[in-house]
Amino acid sequence: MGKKVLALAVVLVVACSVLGFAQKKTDVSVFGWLTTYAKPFSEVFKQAVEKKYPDINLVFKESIYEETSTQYLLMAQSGDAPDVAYTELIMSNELSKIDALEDLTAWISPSIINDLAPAAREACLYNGKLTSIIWDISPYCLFTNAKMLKDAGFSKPPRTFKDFEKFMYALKGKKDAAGNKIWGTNIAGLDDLHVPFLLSPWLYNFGGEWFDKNGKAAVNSPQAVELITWMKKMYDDGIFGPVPIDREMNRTLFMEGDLGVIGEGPWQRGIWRDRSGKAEAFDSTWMLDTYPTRTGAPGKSLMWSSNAAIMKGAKHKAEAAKVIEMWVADPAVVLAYGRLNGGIPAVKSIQNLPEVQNDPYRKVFVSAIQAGGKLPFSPYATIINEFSTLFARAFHDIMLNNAPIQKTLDDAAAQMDSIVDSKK
Amino acid sequence: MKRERAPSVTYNLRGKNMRFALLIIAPAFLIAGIVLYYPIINSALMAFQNIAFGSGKFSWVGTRNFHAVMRSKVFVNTFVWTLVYGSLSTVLLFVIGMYFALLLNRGMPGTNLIRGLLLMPWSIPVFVNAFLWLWLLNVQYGLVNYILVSIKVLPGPVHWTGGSLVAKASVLVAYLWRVFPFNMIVYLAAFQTIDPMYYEVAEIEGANKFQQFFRITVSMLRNIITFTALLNFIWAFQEFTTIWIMTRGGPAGATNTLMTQVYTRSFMERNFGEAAAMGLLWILFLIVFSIFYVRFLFTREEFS
Repeated sequence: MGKKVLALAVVLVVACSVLGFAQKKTDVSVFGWLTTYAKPFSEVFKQAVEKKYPDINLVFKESIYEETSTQYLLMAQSGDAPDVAYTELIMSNELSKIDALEDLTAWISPSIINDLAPAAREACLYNGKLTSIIWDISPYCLFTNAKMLKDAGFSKPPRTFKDFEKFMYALKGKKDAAGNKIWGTNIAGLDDLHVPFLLSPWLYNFGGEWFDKNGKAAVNSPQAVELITWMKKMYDDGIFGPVPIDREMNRTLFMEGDLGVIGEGPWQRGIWRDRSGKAEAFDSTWMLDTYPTRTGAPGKSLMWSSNAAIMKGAKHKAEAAKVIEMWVADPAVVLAYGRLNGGIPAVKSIQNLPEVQNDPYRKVFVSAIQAGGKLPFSPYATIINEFSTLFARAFHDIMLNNAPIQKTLDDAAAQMDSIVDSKK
Repeated sequence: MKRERAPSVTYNLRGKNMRFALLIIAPAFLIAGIVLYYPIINSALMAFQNIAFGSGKFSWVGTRNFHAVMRSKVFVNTFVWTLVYGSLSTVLLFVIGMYFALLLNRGMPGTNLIRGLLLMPWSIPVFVNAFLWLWLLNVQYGLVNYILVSIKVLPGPVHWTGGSLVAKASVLVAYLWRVFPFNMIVYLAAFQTIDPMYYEVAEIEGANKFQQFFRITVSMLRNIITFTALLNFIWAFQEFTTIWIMTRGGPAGATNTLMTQVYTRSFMERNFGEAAAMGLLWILFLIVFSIFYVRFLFTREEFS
């Protein structure tokens, strides 16, 4: 009897080992905020990766967007890094500066790297190394409430500053069905970082810059003063606001029909489809266009991107590279993201597909890319946190405390120059 | 009343008793060492360094961080507001806590239920309290605006976190609402130590309610009030969650306290050296303040 039990135990142990070995998968972690704002896509992505690579188990480790860059720096210092790091360009530059990222030319297939749009490839080079790779180019454009537009006598979003102002003032004093005030537009910025993000397209289209070609702060230029004066007037007239407001609250305001115009990226379609509970039916409540300009030509934008990188502390770099290759260049994955969230593919072969070329949603973002634009605080984008705090304070001081516009912006410019000098 | 310093007590331990005492307190010291003393010492050292976050590299810069902090207008304004916030909240917590304690001490019907309800703000997590007030004061959908506009107290909705003064008031109200139950319950417990005979004698001698309150209640609870006031002041200096969730220290830095400023400087701007310098200055201030406060205000009183 004892021998039989022993034999059975041995058989069971061997069977479990074989089964375990047969089913052995490598957990490949993807760290970032993908599951926060693109949950449906993350599920599609996981399925696609695990179908193509049955030995990979994709594990998403969620982060809060605002905390992610700090988390990456901590991971770099501790050596405990995820396999795939979902970053943005500024985060990648920060990590590249401390040599925390792999050169992806050693890991990603040359055919994919060569297929990247030149601008997408150039943007990710740090001292000649490809330290991250763009999987989604995301400029900002303006979403406008379709019903408010129609009620104000517009058939499409205003293209000039003059028409935009006309639309804003058409909303003055309006209330929704529940008696809540309807706002025109605003610069959402409870988090200081969002103030320059959302102000950048306006600044560029007014002809301004964060820094001039000599590297001197230009937030006090005549164009910047003109822009802020314009916004201040609308604020005083009760159209521009609420200020400050959390960006999530701002998205909710628009979703509830209490905000006329909001500046956001291609991901926003997916967010509203998910949160409104109306899925694709919510798309009919808004219209999309580039930022207005003086002439009516397509407006420049804040040029943002979503990147992927492999940190030096990653444990499964080869597997991470496979995941990133699919994320960037697998048509099924890239097109799924486009359908669910919008966004522009970074590789030419997918950019040229009819589905992308003929997509009216993505066409708007493509025209923003073609009009031009850059990161806020270029060429000192990595000092974004300090600049954001400083600039947001100045902006709110002007809006809320009636601080003199020129003087406040002069002070902000001087402080920004001082920060740049201290970093040299 | 004769005013004397509080007595000091010493214990003499030798040999086996000393070793046993050390053994008993060793685990607590070890844990305190890891989670408290080491971080404090490390932070103090960081105040004299320039740290490249993420690379693990640093360099010694002497007192440069302190000079930068003391010269900063933002730090000075933040420090002043933190002092105002701490002082104002301490006074208001005394007033509100004492008011409700006196009310509950009357022993009216339903006292237990009311006491339980009044204790609830203290029992909910800090971040829940912060989100609660964030939504109550929301400019568009908040209940406060809805009620005040409906009953015509306000002509229109107010952006409670969108102006310097109102934002300061909003974070203060949220903080007071959460903390006042502590003061209330401490004073209520302390009332039970006062012999009712004092009030009877005072009434016979013609003292009115105000005189009884100040000459008897406040006098006899002086040390308790002094102690809770010190705690309230220190807690106000440490307040972070409510302010960060409601306003992030804005708008335009209006509600920025030393705590939020240290957080911003370190984790947002990655300037750990200056953040540590701020923290050190703030701790030194609190230590000096506490020493003088306790030395001059705590008393041993004799009544004749």
